[in-house]
Amino acid sequence: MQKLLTFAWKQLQNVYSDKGLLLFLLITPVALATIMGLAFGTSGGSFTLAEIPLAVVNLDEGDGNTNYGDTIASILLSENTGTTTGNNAATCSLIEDSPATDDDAPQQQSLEDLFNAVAVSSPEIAREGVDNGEYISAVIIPADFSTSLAPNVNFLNPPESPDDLTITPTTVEIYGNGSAPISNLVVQSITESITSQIITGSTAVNATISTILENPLNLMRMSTADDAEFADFGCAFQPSINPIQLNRLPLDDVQAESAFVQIMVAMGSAQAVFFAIFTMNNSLLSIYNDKKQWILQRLLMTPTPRLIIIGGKILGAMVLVFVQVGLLLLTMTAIASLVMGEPLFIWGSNIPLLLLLTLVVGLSVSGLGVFVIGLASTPEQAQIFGTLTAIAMGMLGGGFGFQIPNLEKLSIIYWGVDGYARLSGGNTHIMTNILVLLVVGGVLFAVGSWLFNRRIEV
Amino acid sequence: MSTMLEAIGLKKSFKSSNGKDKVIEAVRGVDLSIRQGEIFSLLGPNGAGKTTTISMMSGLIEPTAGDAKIGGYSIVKEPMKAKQLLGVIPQEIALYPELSARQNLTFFGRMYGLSGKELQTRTDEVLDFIGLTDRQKDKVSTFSGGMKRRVNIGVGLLHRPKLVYMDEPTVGIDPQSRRRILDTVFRLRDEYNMTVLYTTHMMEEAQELSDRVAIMDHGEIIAVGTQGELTQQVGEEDRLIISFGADPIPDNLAKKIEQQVVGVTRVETSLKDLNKDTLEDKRATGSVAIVGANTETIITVYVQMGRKALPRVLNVIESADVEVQSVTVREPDLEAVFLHLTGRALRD
Repeated sequence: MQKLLTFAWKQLQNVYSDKGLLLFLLITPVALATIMGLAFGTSGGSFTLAEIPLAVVNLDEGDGNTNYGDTIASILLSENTGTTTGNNAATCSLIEDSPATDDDAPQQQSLEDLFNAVAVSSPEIAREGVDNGEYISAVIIPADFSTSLAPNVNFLNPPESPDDLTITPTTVEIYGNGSAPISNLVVQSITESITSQIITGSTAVNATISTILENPLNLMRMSTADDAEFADFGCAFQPSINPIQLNRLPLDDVQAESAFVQIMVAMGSAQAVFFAIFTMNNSLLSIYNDKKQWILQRLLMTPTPRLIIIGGKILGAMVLVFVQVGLLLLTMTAIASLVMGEPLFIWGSNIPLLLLLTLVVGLSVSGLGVFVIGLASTPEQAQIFGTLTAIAMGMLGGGFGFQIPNLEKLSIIYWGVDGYARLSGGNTHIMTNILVLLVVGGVLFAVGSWLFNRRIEV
Repeated sequence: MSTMLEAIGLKKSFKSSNGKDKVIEAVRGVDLSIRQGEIFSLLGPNGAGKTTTISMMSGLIEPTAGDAKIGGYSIVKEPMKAKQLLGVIPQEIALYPELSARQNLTFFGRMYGLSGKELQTRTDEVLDFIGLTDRQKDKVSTFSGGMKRRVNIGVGLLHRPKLVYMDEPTVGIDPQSRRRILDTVFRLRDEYNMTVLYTTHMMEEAQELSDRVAIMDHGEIIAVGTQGELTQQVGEEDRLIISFGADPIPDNLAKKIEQQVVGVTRVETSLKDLNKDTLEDKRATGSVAIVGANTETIITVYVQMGRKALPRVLNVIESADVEVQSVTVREPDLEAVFLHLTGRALRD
């Protein structure tokens, strides 16, 4: 262990003593990620939130005639976009389709695309699901939701004044997983929009009743009217009638902000993995310098196994990779927070998984590095192979802001970036990413070690 | 005295880099036995296979066949135990130039498992031994060639090895540093009871240092023994080396010396290219090649009782009306042994 740490320390000393290299390895990825993130992020990216795992608990018992809880639940669950209020036979859409007025406007998603929502029977189960990562958010509609919104009117015994018509405050609980602030913001925004429209509808009804109460003749007309005359009344929630329509802007804003954040995550993580490949290659390339100076031969004549020599260099490079990634994560977080106007750690809250993913990325790129030096027979060759490999991985997997379709999964960068993006979105299902990175790294390490052992004989 | 190093049938073959199936036999079955506390020299010209042999005996490269045991541990089967007893001082300056002398010693000391107070004490001792205590914090890159050599030696001694390999440690350094290194070799044996395996192509060093010498050529050990034992192989013949400068000499001068001087066994004529500083062996007994401004003609006379025969040889040369530039009388030495065994000079 002492020897391993000695090599790792020596490796760090090498980099530290070369200020140019240190700047290249630490500052360049941050600068590139920032520039690319700002360029892609502010010009509208193609990243959107989708399939947010959502639990919907509807405890609303209705007020006898109406059940607004059912309405909210059915919208979130995307069961029927033409939801009825239950007031009468009129069918009124609560969510108006956005007209495509501008080709450049961001494409809006349907709620069906946005949410992967399931109905859950109890708040406890929903909260537990959120806690264990099954859901990002739970929307819990209380039992008295409809009752509290419905105007307390008895037409046979009407109140004396419109002021007597009140709406009791109620609460729709949104229980969120802190690991996905953006997704939670989206859920909250949409739920608030739906709820506010219902409240608006309810207010409109109340206002109508107030009008009736102010003029008793209206009451007379109502008592003799047939159902058809109440059709518009039932559609109080319809945006075309409602004076306050369901405002889609908050959702769009959130989506735009989340796209920016996600681009920052994608660019930051892509540069992190891309430069991790460079760092590891550079570190392992120093073996050739050691060989040239006869230091490697001298080391091999000490009681030090070859694996310790390579392992020590990898360990040193791994520390650098962690510093690199850490710096990138913090910088991207700072920039995203500045743009969004509030402190926001954009990489998700699952720090252990974040560290595990970084470790696995480090191991995977070390396998690639060993493969590169094993393949090359001279330092010059190793330098060329290393650069070409890093560029190829970057082009395939998103290191330069784009991916090559159908081939992206061949790149270590893709699997790393995908893992970071998942964690950022609160999705902890990164086992596939970890397995792929480990297997690819392991195979490359084994082949590279075998080739390297053959070449290292002097 | 116990055996410290034993090589048994060591062989190493390499595939030729340009020939398809051509195999180069760098070492062709080396057997050696070096005793505890002796200075043993491996003498041979460049390319004889000395470094390859040392590389196999230190576990750097795997032998194609055979084995070497250090303190009883096989370098093939128990390499870590064998290497722990071994200190290697390579021909190259195998140091980190960006580190100080002390940092280099500490780094390599850790590779031998030293740590803490022990490592600190040993480092101080070695710095004192190589005379660089006052420069210990300076980067190696700022050192002279001789100082770098001393640090290079110090690294190999830090863990107090039982056996030290020194691979041509005096190559490319000034006479003062060379003297210091040769003195160090004696101190290792006399003060620390270390066994030293010293490889060189310089006959003088092998003669001065060695308790025993092995002469190596074309990947084989061709003779082993003390200096006395080896010189006995060439008998009592002295060599008279006569230089004539750039002037031409008569074709029959060598033949005349051989015929007219009693005790002469053979005479060789050769040309030394002063530009290349190498001998062009003509082995001519009569004919002499064209002599130019940059060549020097040399006649080597093999004769018993050389100092007595010298005036008679010079008489023959004088009668031929040729001017002599210089005369050297060489008594039997390792150079002569090598020449006797291979027909070539050691520096060829």
